[in-house]
Amino acid sequence: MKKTPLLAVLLLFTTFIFAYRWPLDSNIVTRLFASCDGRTVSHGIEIIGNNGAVRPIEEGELIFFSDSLRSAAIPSTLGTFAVLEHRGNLRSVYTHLDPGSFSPEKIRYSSSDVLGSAGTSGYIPGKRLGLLIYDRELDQLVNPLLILPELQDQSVPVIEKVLLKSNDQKKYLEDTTALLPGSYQVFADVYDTAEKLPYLQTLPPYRLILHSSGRIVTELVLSSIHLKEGTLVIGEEETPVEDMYEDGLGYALGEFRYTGGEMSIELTVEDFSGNSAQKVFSFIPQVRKE
Amino acid sequence: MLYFFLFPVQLGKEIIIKKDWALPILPILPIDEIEVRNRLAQEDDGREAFHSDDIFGVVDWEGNLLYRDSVSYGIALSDRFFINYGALPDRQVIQTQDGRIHSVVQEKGYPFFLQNRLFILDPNGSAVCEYDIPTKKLIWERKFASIITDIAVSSKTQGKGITVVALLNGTQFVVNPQGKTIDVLAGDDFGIPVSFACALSDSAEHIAVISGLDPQILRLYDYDKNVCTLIKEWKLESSFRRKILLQFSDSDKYLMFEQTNGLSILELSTGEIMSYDVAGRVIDILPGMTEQGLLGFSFLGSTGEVEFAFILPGKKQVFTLKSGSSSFFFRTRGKEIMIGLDKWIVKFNMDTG
Repeated sequence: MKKTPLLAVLLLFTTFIFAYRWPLDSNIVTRLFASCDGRTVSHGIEIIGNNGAVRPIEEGELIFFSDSLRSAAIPSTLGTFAVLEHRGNLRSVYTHLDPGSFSPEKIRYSSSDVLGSAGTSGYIPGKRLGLLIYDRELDQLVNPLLILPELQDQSVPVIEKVLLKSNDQKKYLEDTTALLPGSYQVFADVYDTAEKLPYLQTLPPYRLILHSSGRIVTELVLSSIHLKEGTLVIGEEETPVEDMYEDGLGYALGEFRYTGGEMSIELTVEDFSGNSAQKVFSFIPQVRKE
Repeated sequence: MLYFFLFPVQLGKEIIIKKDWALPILPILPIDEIEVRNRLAQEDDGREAFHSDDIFGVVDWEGNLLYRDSVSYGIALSDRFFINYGALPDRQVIQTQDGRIHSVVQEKGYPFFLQNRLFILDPNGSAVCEYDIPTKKLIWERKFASIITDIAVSSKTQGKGITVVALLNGTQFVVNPQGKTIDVLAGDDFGIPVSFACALSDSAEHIAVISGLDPQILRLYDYDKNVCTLIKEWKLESSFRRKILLQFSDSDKYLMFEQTNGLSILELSTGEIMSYDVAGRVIDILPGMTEQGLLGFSFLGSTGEVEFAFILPGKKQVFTLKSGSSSFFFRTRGKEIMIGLDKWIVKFNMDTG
């Protein structure tokens, strides 16, 4: 059984039953779930807010914290962090807290209690809060935007470039591209922006769908990350995280087979607020040189 | 702290400790680089890397300060190398103990040494990799969909030993030297599944794990020929919600673990647990035993002062030394004890009274 349909049902149910809140008073997301940075793919989101007071997304019980005590043999890249267990087997993790702001004495939190302050502890480029959501039932990390109140944003994702790759040959697509018959790997350099971002920064989209001849070639949904046979996989397609994105090329969208004649592919990119961009690329036969 | 420098301290009826030397680690005295390099070239196991607050360095048991520098953001120390890293390292600069650059590893995250093996924790806190220092090559890497809460390696299997990785989701992965999963340990925790600690004995024949909340459970496994077998489990009285200190003693004799009121010691041969109460939170447990058979640990007292404690397993007494200091560094070797106190390192000798 695929995990994601179950995840979607479960999250829809839990979101309907339990009202979650953003952990900071104002929420400007500076890094989204599954953002790629070299070989690292983010497991949560990063947020900045007006004042740094961090509140739980819902009432919950503190089950783990790391206070970066100096004798720790293993350093914490998440800095000072706290993990709360909520109803519905969800866990929320608040990372990079200001070390002095968090008190481990308190065990039970309501959603109005202050857990601590956003800080700079751990591997983070400035003062911000990291938030991870873990579904214990399905043993997977969940995109926090699936359960948090909707982000209001009108910015439309940008399809910058799409290219085909075959035997180390790369071909950037125009509206109409002449092509030799064969199999090609499709890569899409796409990004999203957000209105509230304080500086020029790009974000990953939420969903990428590649159609060819009316059929879905690939659907990549950045909804969850779980471990499958020792490999981290993402979303409903269970795409290996390491194969999802290639530096310099973009998102890997599977294989397109050009059989000759007039064909086209259609790329749809959606962000989490429902804004979408579409682009159609047509192909005509390339005349072989004698 | 002055008390330490001036007077011998009696630990119970039998053992007296006397100060041998005290060394300032503040940058007051210049270090003779040529002298230091000579010493580093000569001695191999007679020195200790130390870290005390924002200063780290290398000192030998004779009282010579061989290297000293300020910590950038974090410091990883081994018997031969160190990595002094900033808050956002995208590569790891490995330096020898005289400060020379040995090699650079292109890997993001925070480095740490366990039994002189180099590991790097990724920025998500949920992936770990091991590098071979001489070749700078990646040996193995494991990524998880859960935060890593603890990692354990054994000391007598350097370079080829297994690794135990404990996760926030309550499981523990036993990984072979190539990074392949040998076994996944996941006890039937009645309450909330969380891994709080894991430990591996010297010989890698025993694995210990503390996991779960309400109740917290200690499990002891035998490890042999790629098979882990649960030997026994104990329900603990503690309900810590953070990493718990858990440590086998040298020679696989005892398993020491932090409890609410102090330290507990499990004698592996009998399965008997003895508890040693102290007024504070245990912050370090030494694996080595002194010549007198003492086990050492340190704890943070209610006043924020570090205290050092020694116990003779099997006897109820706890011998404690107040440091008057909030920073610490603690090592033993035979009859010798080396303690870091704020900006000093002090060495003591133990004598039988």
